[in-house]
Amino acid sequence: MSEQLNITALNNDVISSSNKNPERLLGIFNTAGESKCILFDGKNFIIDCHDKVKSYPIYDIIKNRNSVIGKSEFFGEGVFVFRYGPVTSWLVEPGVFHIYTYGERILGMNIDVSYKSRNIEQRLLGLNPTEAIPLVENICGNFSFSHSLAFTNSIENILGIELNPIIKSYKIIGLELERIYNHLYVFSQLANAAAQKVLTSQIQFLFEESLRTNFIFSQFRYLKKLNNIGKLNFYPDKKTLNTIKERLNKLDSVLKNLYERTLDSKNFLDRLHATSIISPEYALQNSLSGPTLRACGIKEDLRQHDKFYEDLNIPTISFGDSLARLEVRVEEIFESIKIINDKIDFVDKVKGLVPFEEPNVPFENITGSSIGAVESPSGIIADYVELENGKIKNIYISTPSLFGFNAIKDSLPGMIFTDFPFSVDSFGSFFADAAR
Amino acid sequence: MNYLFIALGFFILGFILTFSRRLSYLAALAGSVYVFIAGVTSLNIPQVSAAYYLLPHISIGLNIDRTTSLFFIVSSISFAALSFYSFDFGRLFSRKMGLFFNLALFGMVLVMSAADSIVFIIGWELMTIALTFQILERRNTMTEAFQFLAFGEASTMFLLLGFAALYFTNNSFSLINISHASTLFLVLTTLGFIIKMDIFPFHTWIIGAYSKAPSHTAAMLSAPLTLMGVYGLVRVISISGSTKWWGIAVLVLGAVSAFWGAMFSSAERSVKKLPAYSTVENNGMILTALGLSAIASFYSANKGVETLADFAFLAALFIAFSHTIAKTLLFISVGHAKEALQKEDIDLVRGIWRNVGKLPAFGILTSGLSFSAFPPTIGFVGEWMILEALFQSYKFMNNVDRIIAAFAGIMVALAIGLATFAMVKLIGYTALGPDHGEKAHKFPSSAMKISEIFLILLLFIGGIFSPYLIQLLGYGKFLSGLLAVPDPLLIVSAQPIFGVLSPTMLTVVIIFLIIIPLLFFVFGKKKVRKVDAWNGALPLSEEEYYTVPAYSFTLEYILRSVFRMKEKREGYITEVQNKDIAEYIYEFIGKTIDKISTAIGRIIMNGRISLYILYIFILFLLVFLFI
Repeated sequence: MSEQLNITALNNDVISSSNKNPERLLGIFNTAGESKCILFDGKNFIIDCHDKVKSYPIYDIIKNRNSVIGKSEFFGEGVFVFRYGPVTSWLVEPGVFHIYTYGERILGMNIDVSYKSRNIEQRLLGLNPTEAIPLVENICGNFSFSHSLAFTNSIENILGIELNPIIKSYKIIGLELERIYNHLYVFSQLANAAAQKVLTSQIQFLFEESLRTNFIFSQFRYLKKLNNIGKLNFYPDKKTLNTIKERLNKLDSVLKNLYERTLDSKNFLDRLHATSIISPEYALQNSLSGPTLRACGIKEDLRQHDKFYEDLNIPTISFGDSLARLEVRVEEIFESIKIINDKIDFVDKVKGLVPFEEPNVPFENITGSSIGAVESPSGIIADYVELENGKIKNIYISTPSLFGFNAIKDSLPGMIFTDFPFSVDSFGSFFADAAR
Repeated sequence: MNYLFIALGFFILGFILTFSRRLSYLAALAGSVYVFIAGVTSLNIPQVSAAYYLLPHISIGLNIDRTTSLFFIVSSISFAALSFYSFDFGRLFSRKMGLFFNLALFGMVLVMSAADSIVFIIGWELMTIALTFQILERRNTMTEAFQFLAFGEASTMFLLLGFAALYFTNNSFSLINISHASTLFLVLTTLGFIIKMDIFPFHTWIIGAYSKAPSHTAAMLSAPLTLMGVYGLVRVISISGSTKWWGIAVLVLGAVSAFWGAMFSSAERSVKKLPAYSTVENNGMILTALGLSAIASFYSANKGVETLADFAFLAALFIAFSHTIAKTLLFISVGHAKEALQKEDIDLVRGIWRNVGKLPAFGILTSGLSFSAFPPTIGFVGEWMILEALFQSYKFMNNVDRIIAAFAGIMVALAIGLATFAMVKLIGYTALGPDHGEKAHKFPSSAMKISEIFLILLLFIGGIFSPYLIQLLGYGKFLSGLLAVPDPLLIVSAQPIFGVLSPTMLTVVIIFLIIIPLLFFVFGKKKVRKVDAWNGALPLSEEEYYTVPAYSFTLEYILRSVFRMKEKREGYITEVQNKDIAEYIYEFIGKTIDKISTAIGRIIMNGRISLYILYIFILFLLVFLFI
């Protein structure tokens, strides 16, 4: 039996859209002794399972997502496994890249994400949704707001909560702030990999500035402890919002200048150009989303189906390489700043007009299931949640990093070691996010 | 001269005593010692044997002049070390090996002491044939032995033609007391000798022969055999005199060869092919120095260039000597380890220090350091000399000569750098690398170890006391003193002084610099905590060790068009393959001859007996008429 859920990024308001893509497999889980899949067609999430999914190239990766991504094996004179990790320089979190090589050439790769596995889905079982939020936020520090938002979305869907436009706007601001600092982080990592020390310092400065903006907005640099079911725990006042606006406008102008200069640096661009090219066909077959998908020319973004994102500009580039992924991310920073400015203006304008009420729906006796999804900085986070008497009975969290690492594994063979950081960093994937 | 006859007598005794391996090698050792004595005693007193007449106008004889003495001394060190090494190593082979071993030494001594081209060719052929049979002592070596023989006979053919040219000029087969020779003689004999020196593009046989041959044979092929080529060139120059065009030709050939050998040795993965290519490199440097000496002779009347010809010649001798000692040591040490581990790839001969023994490991280490021009080894002095000589080429009057010499300098400098790269690989993986945990095969090796110690000491003594060696060679004019360095411990590269080096004083400084930290280490507070190198928080598994092909892949990739590098992949099996361009030449020659012979065969052997008889008849007539 298939269950079609028309659920968008932040609530259950659906804006009709005709831009569907081929069906993608985002997750597989068991419920009531039955195997179910989370499928996505670019617009709708479908909870279903059919035999065809077993032929999807991503099927085995999803089935074994807590261990090693990939089953590469190579033999021959001089071939060895270059193990990068689990605890070594450059890696910011434990994980292992098992790289088959006979020297500089990358022949194949398996990626072990298990070192960061914390069994968060298991630990969430039996908790009530409010208790669960801090744990969900800790799935991945860089995506804590996105994870929390996807989770609260699913609960709000079960509870039938329709968000107040002001609360919704605050949540959008939080999500876009998270996107900005994540994209800046990726940019600084790529600049650092190319030994562009001045550029790296400048971008790291902007990254630090964006974390401070997060702090001003939420009292936490990584936007934690802010989100809640149907509400926020904290609402910045008008003065704070104006400060955020000023800071972001300044960031916008500095970044534009830096970005223009970056695009003039052949030395930097050469390192990213033609590195780890992802084709649109591969991207769709392997469940990619976010900037990686948009960097191969596919105009898809969960936010486009949300009426609260008016006139959303979705940057796309068709080349599919690391440079394209960076360009998409930087363009998205500018777009996010624009969105935040609009939302601050909106909050400022309507705060007195719209009754500002927080929903108060008790979930102690609620039983039901739903899916909540968010366009996180690196792609779709989709949470399928089942509640039974107000407690989490079943939960499956689909994360973009799993698909990102799979794409890294498939796109790096044939390249050389020098390309490694330019490839890995450009996907913006995290072991914590993949392993949960 | 008597010492020479005693030496030859011992080698003959060695053939006779073939029934006992030890006695046969003991005779070889005694013969080697007498060759050394003959060399030392004849350094300043040239000796000529009586002439033995084969025909009324054709006599043969032996001769020990200064050149012969010098080469006797150097080669006898290698002979003696190899003979003593074979006390243990020879047990791994049949008794016939002793016969071929003594025969090869006998042939080489004849070559160095030949007073005429007949004795020279006899010696030349004896050593070639004896070494061919030595290679054949290993199973499945027919192809490699045949390749060696083919190149050896090509060399002999050029020498025969060259000596014929010499005969037509002088009406004599004598190689001494003559100073007239045609250009043809110079060209043909140079070709004959550089083939023996493994100079590019005549080096391809070494790839198979060195790796398949028993290690003491490989050492003989690499060190004393190629030294015979050097000796031959020196002898030829003494007869015909060096000319500028000859100098330029051999300079370019030598420089290319040095670079080529170093480049391929840096990419080699076999424990014996790497030293093989190193031989191409070292002999290339020797040839470069001889070429530079010839060019410098042309300018010797010009101010500032008066001593360059002699200094370049001295550099050639020094590299020849250092190569002979270091390469013998390298092959016997590698052979020791190879036999103990029964493996061929550098990747698989890891951990010699722990697994096989400290001496073979130290032998590889010190010889590798010598090839890497590490002070105070003899290799360091030799390579300093050639670079110093090449630096002085700016003094040439002709711009073309300067540019050519500068090109040679670049090639040689690159070769020295690449050789270091190769030797670091060999030392790092085999001598000092982590072992596989495999048990080394035990066999008696006391004599092998003594030979290794002997050559290790010589490498350092030769380097540290090189000023005295220069004095012994008769080049006292390149010795001096300066400031705190007493005369004659300073080597000067020209008169007036251009560059200076004092290996002796440098050693004193090195020892002083080592002793102080050593004292601190020994008597200081030992708060040293030893831990394994950090490998991402996990111990390395066997499949995670950095392999030998990986070490040089970047270099091979950058120079992929020169290496003819191909990354081959069939399913999950993948590897990098290189091919020496010179091999294409011989493959082309082989295929062309094959096609021609097939075509001729089809015409002649087409079933018509009358045509076949006609062919035999014509051939018979041709042979009868011209030969």
